[in-house]
Amino acid sequence: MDKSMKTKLISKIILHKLAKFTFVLGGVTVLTFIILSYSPIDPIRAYIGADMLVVSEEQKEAIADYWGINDSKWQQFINWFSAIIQGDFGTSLLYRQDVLTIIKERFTASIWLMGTAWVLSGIVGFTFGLLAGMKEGSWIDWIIKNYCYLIASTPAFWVGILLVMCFSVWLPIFPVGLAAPIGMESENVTILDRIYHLVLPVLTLTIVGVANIALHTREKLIELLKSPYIRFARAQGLSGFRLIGNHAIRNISLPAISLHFASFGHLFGGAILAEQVFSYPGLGTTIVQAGLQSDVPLLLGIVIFSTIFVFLGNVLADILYVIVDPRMRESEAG
Amino acid sequence: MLHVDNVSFRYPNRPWLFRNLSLTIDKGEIVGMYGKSGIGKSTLAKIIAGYIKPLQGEIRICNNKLTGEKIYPVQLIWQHAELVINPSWQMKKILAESPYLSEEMLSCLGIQSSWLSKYPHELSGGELQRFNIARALGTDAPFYIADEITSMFDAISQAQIWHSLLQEVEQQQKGMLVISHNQKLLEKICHRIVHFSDLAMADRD
Amino acid sequence: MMTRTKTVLLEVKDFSMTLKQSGRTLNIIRSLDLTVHKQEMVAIIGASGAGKSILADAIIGLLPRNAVIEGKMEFLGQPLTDKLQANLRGREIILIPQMTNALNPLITVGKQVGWTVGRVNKKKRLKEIFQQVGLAETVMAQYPHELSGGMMQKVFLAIALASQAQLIIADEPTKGLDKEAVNAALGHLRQLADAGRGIVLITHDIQAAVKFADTIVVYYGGKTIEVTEAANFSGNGDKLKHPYTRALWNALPENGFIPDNPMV
Repeated sequence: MDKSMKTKLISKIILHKLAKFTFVLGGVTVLTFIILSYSPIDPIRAYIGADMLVVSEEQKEAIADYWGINDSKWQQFINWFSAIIQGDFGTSLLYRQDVLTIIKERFTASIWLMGTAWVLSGIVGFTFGLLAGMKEGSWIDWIIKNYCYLIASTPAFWVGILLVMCFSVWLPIFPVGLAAPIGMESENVTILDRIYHLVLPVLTLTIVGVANIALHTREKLIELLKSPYIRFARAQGLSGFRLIGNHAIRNISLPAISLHFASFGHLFGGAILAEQVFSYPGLGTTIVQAGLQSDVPLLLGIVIFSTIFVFLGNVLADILYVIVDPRMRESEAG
Repeated sequence: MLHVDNVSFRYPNRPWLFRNLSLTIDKGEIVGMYGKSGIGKSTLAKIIAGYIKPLQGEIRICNNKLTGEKIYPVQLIWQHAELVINPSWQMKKILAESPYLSEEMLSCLGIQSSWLSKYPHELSGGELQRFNIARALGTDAPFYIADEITSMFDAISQAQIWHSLLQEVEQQQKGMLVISHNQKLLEKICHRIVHFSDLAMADRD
Repeated sequence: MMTRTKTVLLEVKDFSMTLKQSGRTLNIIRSLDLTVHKQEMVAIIGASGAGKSILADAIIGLLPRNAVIEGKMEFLGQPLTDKLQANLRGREIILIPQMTNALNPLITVGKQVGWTVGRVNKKKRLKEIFQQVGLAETVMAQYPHELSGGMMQKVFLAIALASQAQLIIADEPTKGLDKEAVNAALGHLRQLADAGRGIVLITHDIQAAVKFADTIVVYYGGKTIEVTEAANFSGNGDKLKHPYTRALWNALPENGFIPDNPMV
């Protein structure tokens, strides 16, 4: 297959995904909107907060009118949706700021956390998987396998709490939380400060993220080592790391990377919990606050944003498959 | 009479595998088919058995076009029994899917009653293939396709499986298409032998 | 006919193998014999489960770790130890598996043949070998699924030539191929035998074995049942000694198609 066909195929996939994405996004927005509209929290109370007692009924009415709360749900949805289409995500009730600005700022903080953890857990998980698969049935395999099963059934926040207990409380090496030293002006915060505060949250996400990729890689490698062409390659005299290097790295790493891209959803979910434990000011803590305090515009904004984020991971995963496997290019062409 | 009528097929973005291919199989007739590897024999088998839709042409029995029947009247006996048998079911449960199986048919196929309580992994490939055949015959469909169903067995097992299958097919006047690379086998068991590339009509390009 | 003065390449005598599996010991192979001379093609036939492929793995040294083997196994008079096997593998002894799925689908053909060629003058030798077997140079950059059956044969021939191995073990190499392709592939192997190498052909295809091999070895249930010249497979099989061998011969569609197994 030549290059132009490959490009054609990839653009075809992207178009196809884009259509699918429109549906998913539509579904997600409608669903979130419906769920939120049944939330027991009164948005006016949430907006006014402690001043509720001193605000008169007329004022409350005015506020309700201003935010469009008295319109029908349907009308509210239309208003909100048409604004979104025009790129206006509205104003956060909590922060009194443009939703997009908040998302941008919080996501920058989160991306450091998630990105580092994503890369690290990928590398560590893949290595673990290779080791376990190469030595199937040995003690190394046993340890890695059971570690993964254990981790796969452990929630991220619990790992985070354990780490805080070990490395912040008993052995005070790392800070308990936040993204920078308390009370420091943001312009004085150095890169080192940031990294220092990132260590434990990243570690939490990495530890949790390893399991999936390691188990997948192990399975794939064991399956691969039984394949006729590995038997053939070994009969040709290839062995040990040369065998794994020639055959396994290409055959296994790219499905693994694809799987890893497809795990953006897990990553985001884990990040919400980890950020919560470490009070890390990222998208995760923000979405929890927005949810708890009924900040509808912000919550919906983040939901849409995270949908795009997870979907992007899936699209990248699919495209990678096509680039890497010459057979996929032909079957996908249909 | 089974009619394969001017059937054409290609996989997406590939050249035509075959065009305007026609073939008829009579009731009680066993037709052999051979041809080069990769030429489309197995694809044709799947089309006739209703697993793939042809791009052009149609499959008819007498004059009825085949559409969504409960039990498809053309049953494909697969090459690899182990791939089409649920590994976690007991053999009798697997056979229960075929309503018209009789004790007689089972014993004719050489299936011992003790095998019925076993699981697929406890049986050899040859034994599994007999179940695979029984399951197809037990649908009482009028036509069958056997696509290289014995090529992985030794000569004795091959002869055993064919003897029992042929006995059933002949007794009940079924029609069958046998696909194999083994021309000696086809000569032995078929009424008529066709070469795959002779089936497609003139406008091959 | 074979003259017995030719050098013995491989000698396997009374080979047995047991597998230790979670405390239990499974006796997989009881007693297999196999002798291969230079310029000789020996075909191994027999029912599945007779131990044909396991023997191939044992000769080349690729048995699973829980396998325990006994018996004599010598290559050119030297006992085949793990260390010797590791040295010979891919150089003096080579395995050709079922051709339709033996290449890594994600790696180009040239690269895969290249592993056997060795590092000295790799490019030049690869070109020579491809020319020798009649494959265009462009095939080197292609992936296995892009090759036709006929081209695939030539690739394996190229690998056999590249290795300069004295012993070639072909394990069901022609499974799934049509008759012409089978004849072409086995014809190539026959040429290699005539040029001085020893070939072991493991197959279900008795017709092909009789046509191309010098000697035929019959295994059943992990035991050697008969070793005989290929020419003895003729007529009613009167020249065959063991009833099972005769039964195999007479079960062929062209020889009576008799479905009786004397072993059960």
